[in-house]
Formats: sequence, structure tokens, C-alpha cells
Amino acid sequence: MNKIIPINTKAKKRKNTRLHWLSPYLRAVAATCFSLLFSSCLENIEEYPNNPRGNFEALWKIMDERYCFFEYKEVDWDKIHAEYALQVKDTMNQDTLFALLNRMLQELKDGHVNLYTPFDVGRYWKWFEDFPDNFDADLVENNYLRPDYAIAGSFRYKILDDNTGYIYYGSFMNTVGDANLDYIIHKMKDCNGVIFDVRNNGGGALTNVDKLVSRFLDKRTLVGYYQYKTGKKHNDFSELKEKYIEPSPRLRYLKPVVVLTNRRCFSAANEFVSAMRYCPNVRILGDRTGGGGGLPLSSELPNGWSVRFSACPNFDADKRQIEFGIDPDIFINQEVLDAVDGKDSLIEAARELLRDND
Amino acid sequence: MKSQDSNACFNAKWQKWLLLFAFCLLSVSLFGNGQPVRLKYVSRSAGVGTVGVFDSYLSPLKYRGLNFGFMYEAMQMLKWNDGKISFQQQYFTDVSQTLNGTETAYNLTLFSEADYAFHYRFDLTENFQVFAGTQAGIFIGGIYNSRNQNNPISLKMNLNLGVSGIAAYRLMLKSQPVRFRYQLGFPAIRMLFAPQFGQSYYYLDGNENIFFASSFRNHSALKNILSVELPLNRITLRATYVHSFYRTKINHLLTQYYSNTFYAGISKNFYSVRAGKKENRNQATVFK
Repeated sequence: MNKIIPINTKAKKRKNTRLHWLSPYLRAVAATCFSLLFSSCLENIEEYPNNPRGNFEALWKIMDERYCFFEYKEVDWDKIHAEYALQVKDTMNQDTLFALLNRMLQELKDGHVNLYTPFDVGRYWKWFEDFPDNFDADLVENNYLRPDYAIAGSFRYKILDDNTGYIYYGSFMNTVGDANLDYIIHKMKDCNGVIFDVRNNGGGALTNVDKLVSRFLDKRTLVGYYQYKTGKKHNDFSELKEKYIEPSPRLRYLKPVVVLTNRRCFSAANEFVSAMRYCPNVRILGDRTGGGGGLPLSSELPNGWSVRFSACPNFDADKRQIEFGIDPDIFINQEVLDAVDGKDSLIEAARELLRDND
Repeated sequence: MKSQDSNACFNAKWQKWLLLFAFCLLSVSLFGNGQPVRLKYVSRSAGVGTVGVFDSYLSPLKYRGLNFGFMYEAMQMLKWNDGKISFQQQYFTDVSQTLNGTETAYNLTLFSEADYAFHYRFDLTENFQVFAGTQAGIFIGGIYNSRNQNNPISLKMNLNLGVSGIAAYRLMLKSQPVRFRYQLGFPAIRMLFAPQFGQSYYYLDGNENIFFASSFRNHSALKNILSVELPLNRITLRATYVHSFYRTKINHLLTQYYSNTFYAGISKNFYSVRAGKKENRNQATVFK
């Protein structure tokens, strides 16, 4: 009896519940839940295999979809694919694959295009290799800066004996300190003018460009335009976006300024030179800059190699591309005889220009 | 002396009345409405699991790795509709480190999500309850790629409105109640942030079109939460499996994130301060 009672109770309870008619419904709910639980809502991602051909195709496609200068440089990327795909062999080792991929990327003639591997960096340096240096760091240091020049943050500076201020800024990777600039500008307030030397400056952060240019502006100024890609096709671009820089609320230098340039002024330095042309009392002197007008982004290949490429084109305020560099107002090359005499032809020309202005 | 005695007598008299008045107020507040005390269910858990991250803004490769999660949940029945409506708050934080296939780069991902849901409770049987309702939430986070230069971060910001359902079943194992619970939630409409296809965050400003309304077509997200709760003395142990899935495809940029995380934690029903505590009063818990 004792065993029967609980069984009957359970049966009675079961009868009172609605589970018996809900069970098909519950099964459907459970089935739906588990289908959602285990279903693959993930979209199929096209991943290339990690072999020479897979890496070649992955690199070609990254550039095809994201590189920004195909149209401007009139590069037929499909033709390049056809040409280089024939050279890909499954038996290639890392070195030969790297050499092939690097050759393909060099067709773009872009200093912002690099292939990074653990054993080498693929690069295009023709933008300065085939041109005169126009800068000798030792000559400048020994004959103009030494022995008593000052260092304020990332800047080396000195007031030369003809009352011309000289500032050297070697990399936009280095932080531009507001206090540093305040001190430098204050010390040079009575100079005839300032030589701002960015030769051999290979670029860095664009925020430093804005910070620096704002010290030479007297009003909010349109300094250029930029675009970015809105789709995967070669000419899928946004409209041109204006780029303004506000004058700094801190100390500013509005007396004559000469910016010294050479072919190694690249990327952010190129952007700086472009923007400085729209500042009052600023002249550009030296050689054409190296260019690098596309803001670079990064991606990677299945074998782990990293690739950098120009993704957002920049323009000057007259809507001209600056990818291939900016011409100076005054072309000056380093003279051999000057170098023998321990003189920097560009600095001497700038001093003369500032003296004439004075 | 006499006047002091009479004052003391007067004060004692008033103290009695004041005490009586306070007791009446308390009684009214506790028993006057005759409603049961609505207990607040609270659960805290921490977990570890696996995760897969793909963000085409950062890389064309899938990244996989470990996920560490923290989960907080609070739920309480409301007065409305004869106490059949519940309010649920859920907070999730997931931190993960993932590697690409060749382990040459890593991503750090931090996602944080707050969801608020109203459910209607159906007491289908003595042991089985189903909740159905709507949830709104905010999702904030980002994926950081260790070696990208001008595109190192992909930020995620969403406002979600969606549906949520819970099935809770109490199983008696040798007079010990064990509660099984499954919750499914997914957003139906969403307002989300996304840069343009080739846009650097350096070029983002207030004038750009970077917030988009999205639907199932260009986003999907899902959270499956399966848990078992076992009472142990005065607390309840909770083991939870969370399958989380998040996908957006906007401006030709695809982001896919999925994680399978196992949590361990505790849960407890609390008296709220406002409701007061009374042992012999009816208690309204969220789950049976």
C-alpha cells in the first residue's frame, strides 16, 4: 500500500498539470532553442590558405580592396595580378616568396607600402634614393648648432650669430610639447626670423603636425582635404573633406619663417610642409619633399606577415594630390663647394632670405 | 521638583503615544497593502571559456583565444499585473586575448553589456515557468590589434531593443530542489556605431555619418544562457554556460564574435530594504 500511494499521487499531479498537452509545444520550443544554440549564424569568411599562392592572393586582394591610389597612379592591378600570379610556385621558400611579393608591391611606387616579415621589411625608397640628400646632420651640428645649442623636448634650437633662429625637428614620431614650443618661441621673439628645418624628417603622427602648424597661424585656416574609401572598388571614395587648423591659444610666431625641405621629408613631414604653405610669412626652401600623401592602414597575410598601405588620400588646400611631394617656393640644392667650406647651402640661403626680409 | 515630576509624567505619556503611532505606521507599511514581500533574485558569476574574433577593419584573419567573463544578474517581480511582470537587469563584461593562426599578432577584446528586460511570467506547472518579454540594452567595447598602426582599434557601441525569453524548471532530487534555467535574448533593432570602410579613426569627427540604425539584415546577436542552480545552506550555487554571438556587417566591414564561456557563481534571494523583512509574511520569489 505504502508504495502505491505515492504513485497515485504522482499520477494525480500529472493529470492536474498541463504538461501532457504542452509537451509537443515544449519540444518545439526546445528544438528552436537548440537550433539557435548550435546553429552557425556566422557568415562564411573567405580565408586564404597559408601557402605561397594563398598568401599571394590574400595580399593582392587586401591591396585591391583597400589601397587608395590605383586610379591616381594609373596602376592596372588586374594586369599586375596576371603577371605575378604566374611566378608563384607552391615550392617557393619564404625568401623567394617575400622577394616576389615585394616586387609586386613596388609597382605601386609608394613609400607607405611595406611588407613586414620577421626577417626583412619590403619597401620602396626610390622617392629619396635617386635624389641628392641636401642634408648633412654632422655638418649642421658641428658648424651651426655646436657648442651651445639647446634641446627642448624633440627640438634642437639656437639663435645664430646673425640673429636668425634655427630649429631642427627630426621626426614627427617625437611628441611636440606645448611648453617646449612656448620656450622656443619666447626665446626667438626678437630674431629676424626663424629657420624651421624638417629635412630627413620621415613622418610620424599627424596630431603633431596640427599642433606645430597652429603656432604659425593667425586665423582658422583651410590647410587641405582628405578622403577615405567607402567601398571595395578602386574609385569608391567619400567626398573631399575639409581640413582646418585653428591658431594655437598659446604663444605663436608670426614673423618670417623659412621651412627647409629635402626628398626625405615624408608622410607627416610632407603634410606639415603642405600645411605650412598656407601660414602667413612662411616660405618653403630646399628640394621637393618625398611625398607620402596617403594615410596608411595595416593588415596581414595568412602566414602572419604584416602589410602597410596607403588608405586615405590627402590633398592640399587647392585640392591637389600631395602623394608625390611638394615643390618648395625656392629650389636650392647643397653645393659641394659649400660643403667643403663647412656650410649648409640651404641654411645659408634661408639666412639670406630672412636678412632680405628684415 | 513638582513641576519637573509632572513634566516627566507628561513626556512619558507622549512617548507612549508616539511609539504607538510609529508602530501603526510600520504595521500599515508592512501589512496594510496585504501584498507579499517581493524578493530580489541576485546572482554573481565569473567564468572562463573560448572565443573567436573576426573584424575585417583590423585583419582578414580569424583570431581565437581565451575569454574571461563576469556576469551580474538581478531580477524581481513587480507590483503590476498581479505580480506577473518581472524586471531583470543583466551586466556582462568579457575580456579576451586572441591570437591569429600563426601567433604573430594578438587582439585584446573588451566588451561590456547592460541589458534591462521586462518579462511576463507564465506559471505553466508547479515546477515550470516561462517568461517572455522585451529587453533593451547598451553594448560598449572594442577590439585592439597589437600591430596595426593607424587602425589599431575597432570600437563597438550599440543601443539595442529586442526580445527575451526564459524557461525555468525546478526538479526535485531527493527533496533537494535543483533549478534549470535557459534564457535566450537577441536584439531586433539596433543603433550602432561604425566607421566607413577605409576610414581611419583619426578622421572621425562629429560631422561624419557614423551611427546607423540596423536590423537583422546587417546585424545579428544572440545570447544563450543555460544554468543550473543548487541550494546549499543559505546560498545557492549557480553553474552557467553562456553562448554569445555578435555579428555586424556595415559599410562592407564585417565583425563576428562568438564565445562559449562557463561560469560559476552564487545566487540568492534578498529582501529589499523598502519591503522590510517579516518571516511569517508571504514571499514572492521570481523563480519557484
